[in-house]
Amino acid sequence: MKAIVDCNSFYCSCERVFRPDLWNKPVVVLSNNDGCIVSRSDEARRLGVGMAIPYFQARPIIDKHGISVFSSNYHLYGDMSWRVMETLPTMMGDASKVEVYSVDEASMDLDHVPRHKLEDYSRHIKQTVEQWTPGKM
Amino acid sequence: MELEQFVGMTYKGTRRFTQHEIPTANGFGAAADDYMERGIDLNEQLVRNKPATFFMRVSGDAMTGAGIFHGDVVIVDRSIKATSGKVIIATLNGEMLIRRFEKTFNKIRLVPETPKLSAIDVDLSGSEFSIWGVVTYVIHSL
Repeated sequence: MKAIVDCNSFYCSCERVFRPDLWNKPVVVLSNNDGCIVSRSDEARRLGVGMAIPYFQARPIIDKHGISVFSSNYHLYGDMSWRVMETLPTMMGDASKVEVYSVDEASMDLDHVPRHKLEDYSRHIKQTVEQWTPGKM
Repeated sequence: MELEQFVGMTYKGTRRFTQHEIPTANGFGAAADDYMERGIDLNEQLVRNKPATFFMRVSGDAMTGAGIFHGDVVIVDRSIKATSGKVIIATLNGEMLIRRFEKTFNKIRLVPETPKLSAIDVDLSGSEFSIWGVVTYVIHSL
């Protein structure tokens, strides 16, 4: 069995790590030069902020609901991504079983895990990543 | 130009080589090579679990009694379980706090180490509380 790891609203999760005041609050992250929305927290999504739409188009919703807006900070996301991608092989005990696909995605080989243990195993990995790093999965 | 190679005028003070890598170095020095070590690496000494470890700068005087002062850097490990008596980074109602964690069977208290502040009894039903990480070391400038 193979597993796909994908972090939820990764850039937003990163921006919120050190900002408990923004946990459970709507947050969006903008692309380079603040052009488009590249990441939205669940709360922002529910308020109707579209994915990858230009900032100026989302502006009315953002202002109306007081959504927090961040310019992208790739140093931060890179560091947090490294943490997630380092945690996975540590959990698996074997780096060759993990293939990093992007800043917040990876696939893993779970062939060694018996079928009936897969769910527990996956939950354990998810919990550990969420405890160690800001990545929400 | 040729002289530079031998007296090492361009040597900048880093030593990212071993004697084996320098073909002209032989004799007694090479024997010491088997005992070469990299020196003390503070990351290795102070960081137990790198992906879960964060460095944070402390603001405020809440923990001066524990030797943690305003402006100090603390090393925080998110993979360690917070047990009673540990210094932790807590989040309480959207704020980050550094306090000593005290847990009895039905009560959580965040205790400062200064007479200027009082302990906080955490009301688990009416407040947003979580443990962000456990403080493992403090780096203090003298």
